[in-house]
Amino acid sequence: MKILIAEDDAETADFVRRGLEQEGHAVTVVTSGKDALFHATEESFDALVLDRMLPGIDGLSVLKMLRAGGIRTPAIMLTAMSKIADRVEALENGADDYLVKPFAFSELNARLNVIVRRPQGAGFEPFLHVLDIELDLRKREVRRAGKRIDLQPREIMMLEALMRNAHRFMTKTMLLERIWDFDFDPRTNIVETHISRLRAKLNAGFTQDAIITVRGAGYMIRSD
Amino acid sequence: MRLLPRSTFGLVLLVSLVLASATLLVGTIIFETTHEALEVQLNHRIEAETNALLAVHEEGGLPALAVAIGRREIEGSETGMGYRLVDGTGNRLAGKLRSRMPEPGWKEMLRIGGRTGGRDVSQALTTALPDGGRLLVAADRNPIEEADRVLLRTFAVNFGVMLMLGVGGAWALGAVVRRRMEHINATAQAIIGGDLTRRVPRDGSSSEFDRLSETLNKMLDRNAELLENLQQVSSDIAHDLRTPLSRIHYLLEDALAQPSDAEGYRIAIEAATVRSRELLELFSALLRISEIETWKVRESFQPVDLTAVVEQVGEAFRPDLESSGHKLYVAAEPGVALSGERRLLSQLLVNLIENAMRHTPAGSTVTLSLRQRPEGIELAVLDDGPGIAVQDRAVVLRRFARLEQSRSTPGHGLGLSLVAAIAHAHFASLKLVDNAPGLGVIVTFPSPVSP
Repeated sequence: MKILIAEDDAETADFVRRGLEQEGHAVTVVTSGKDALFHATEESFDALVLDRMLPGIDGLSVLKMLRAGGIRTPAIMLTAMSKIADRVEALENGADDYLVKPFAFSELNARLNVIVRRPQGAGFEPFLHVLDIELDLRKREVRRAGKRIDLQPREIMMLEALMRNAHRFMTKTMLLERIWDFDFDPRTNIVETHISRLRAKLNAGFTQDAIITVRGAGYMIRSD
Repeated sequence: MRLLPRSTFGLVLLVSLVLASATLLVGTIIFETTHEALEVQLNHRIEAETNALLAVHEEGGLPALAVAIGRREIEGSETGMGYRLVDGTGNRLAGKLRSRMPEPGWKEMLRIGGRTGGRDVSQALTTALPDGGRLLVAADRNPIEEADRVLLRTFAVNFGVMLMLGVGGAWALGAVVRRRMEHINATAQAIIGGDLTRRVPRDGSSSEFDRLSETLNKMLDRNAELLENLQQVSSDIAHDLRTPLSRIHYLLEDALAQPSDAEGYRIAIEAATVRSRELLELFSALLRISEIETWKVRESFQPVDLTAVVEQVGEAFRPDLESSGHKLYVAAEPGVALSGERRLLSQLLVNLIENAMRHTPAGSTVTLSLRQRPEGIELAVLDDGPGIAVQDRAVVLRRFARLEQSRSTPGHGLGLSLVAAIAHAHFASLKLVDNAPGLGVIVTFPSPVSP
C-alpha cells in the first residue's frame, strides 16, 4: 500500500514509518499541513495518517479540505490529547478512525488495515461465512460445520466484527469501541473474558481453534 | 463618536440639564402668554374709556369732554387711568397727564412726566377728534410689570431648584454607584495582588448591585475551584509521578549496569515498557479528569438511556466478575433517562464496578441498582466486602488517594476522582455509605425537568 504520513514530530513519524515499511508499505512522510494537502491531492494514496496538530494548516482542516475536494482516501487521525469532543469532531470531519498518542504500532496497523479494506459503500451483508463458520444476522443464528451454536447478543456482535474483518487483526480497544462503545480502557479484562467465552462456545467439539490470538496484535478469525 | 457621557454622574447630569431646559421653556411660554393676556386686558379698558369719552364729545363737544375728564380724574384717582385733552392748536384743555401728545394710535410705553397715580410708564391710546383736538387715554402698566416680576421670580426659583436637584442627584447617584463599584474594583485589585480568597462585600439587600456582587462571587468561587484543581494536579504530578518514573529509571540503569544476554535485556526492557505504559495511562487519566472538571463536556450532553447503560455495563462485566468468584446483581428500573454523555456515564459505572471487584474478596456480591427516587435518579454500586472506615471515606475521593491496605493492589488511585468528576459534570452528588457490611457508592442525579 502507499501511505502518506503527516506528522511534525520526527520521532513519532520515524516510528510509524519504520513499522509500516516493515509491513511492506511504501511510505511518504510530510511535516506540515500544506505539504500534506499538496501530496494528498497530487498523488494517489491508499491511506492517510494525519496528526491533528500540524504546523500551518492543522490536520483537521487538511482533512476537511480534502473531503470538500472529493478526495475520499481513507484517513486516520492522530491526536496527542484525548479530548472527548475531539473524537467526534475528527469523525464528523471525514476521518475514518481516530487514535490517541501514544499508541502501539500494532494498534495503528490493525486500524489502517480495517479502514483500507472497508468496502466502499457496500450494503449490509446479513450472511457471513468464514471457513466452516456461518453467521446469519437476520435469524441471529451461528453454525460451525453445520452445528448450531447458541451465542449471547454481544458474542454475536463480536463474532460479526471478527468475521467482517477476516484476515485482519482486531485489537482490544477496537473491540471495546465497537461492541461496548467504550472510549476508555477498563483495567479489567472484559475483552479477554468475552473472547474466551466466545472461543469456548465456538470450539466445543472441534479440534481447531476458531479464533487466533496474537499477543500485542489482537484477535482474528481463523480463515485457513 | 461619543454622543453620551459614560459615567453615571455625566448621565444623570445630562438628564437634569434637559429637565431644567424644559422647565425654562415652559416658564417662558407661561410668562409670554400671561404678559400678553394682561396687556390685552389693559387695552380693552383703555378702549372702553376712550369710547365713553368720545360719546361725551359727540354730544357736548370739547367743553363737555374737558368737564367729563376732570370729573373722572377726581372720581377715579384709584383706577390708574390718566387723561390729556388738547385742542386743534395743541393747548391743553383737560387732564393731568404731563406728557407730550403722541401721534394718534396705540403707544405701548408712553413716558409720562409726573405721577398718574404712581409710575411713569403707561399704555396709551391717542385719538384724533373731528374738531382738530386730540384725546389721550393712558393706563398704568404697573400691574403688568408687577405680575411679570412675580412670574419671573417664581420661574427663577423653580429653575434653580431643578438645577440644584439635578446636579445634587447626579453627584449623589454617581457617588453611590462609584462606591459600590469601588468595592468590586478593590476586590479585583486584591485578587490581582494575590489574595484569592477576597470576595465582593454584600449588603444583603437584593438590589442589582448585590445581585451583581453575588454573581461575581460565584464566578470567583468557581475560578478558585478550578485554580485549586490545577494546583492540586500539579503537586500530585510532582509527588506521585516521581515514584513510578524513578522505578523505570532504576530498572533501566540496573539492566545497563549488569552484563546480561539478550533474554535478560529483553526482560528488563519489557518490564520498563509495562511501567511506562502504566505511567502514560496515569497521565491520560489525569488529563481526562481535568478535562471533565472544566465541565465543557456539558455542551455535548444528549439524552441517555441510563437503564440501558447499567444493563449493558453489567452484562459486559458479568463474565469477568463471575470468573473472579464474585456474584453480580443488576436491578435497574426500566426507562430511566437523563441528559448526559453516554461514554462518561459508562466509565463512571465501570470504575465503580472495578473498584468493587478489586477491593472485595472472592465470593462477595456486587449489586448495581438504578432507581427513580423523589430526590432524583439514584445509581448505586454496592458490595458486601470489607468496606471503608468512615474517617477514610473523604480521603478516597481525593486524587491519588490510596489507603494503606490497598497500596499493594494495582491501580493508580484515580478511579474514584474520575467518578466524582463525571458525577459533578452531570450535576450529580456522590456519596459513600456503609452497606453494612461493605461499601455503597451512591450517585444521585437531579431528575430531568420534564418539558
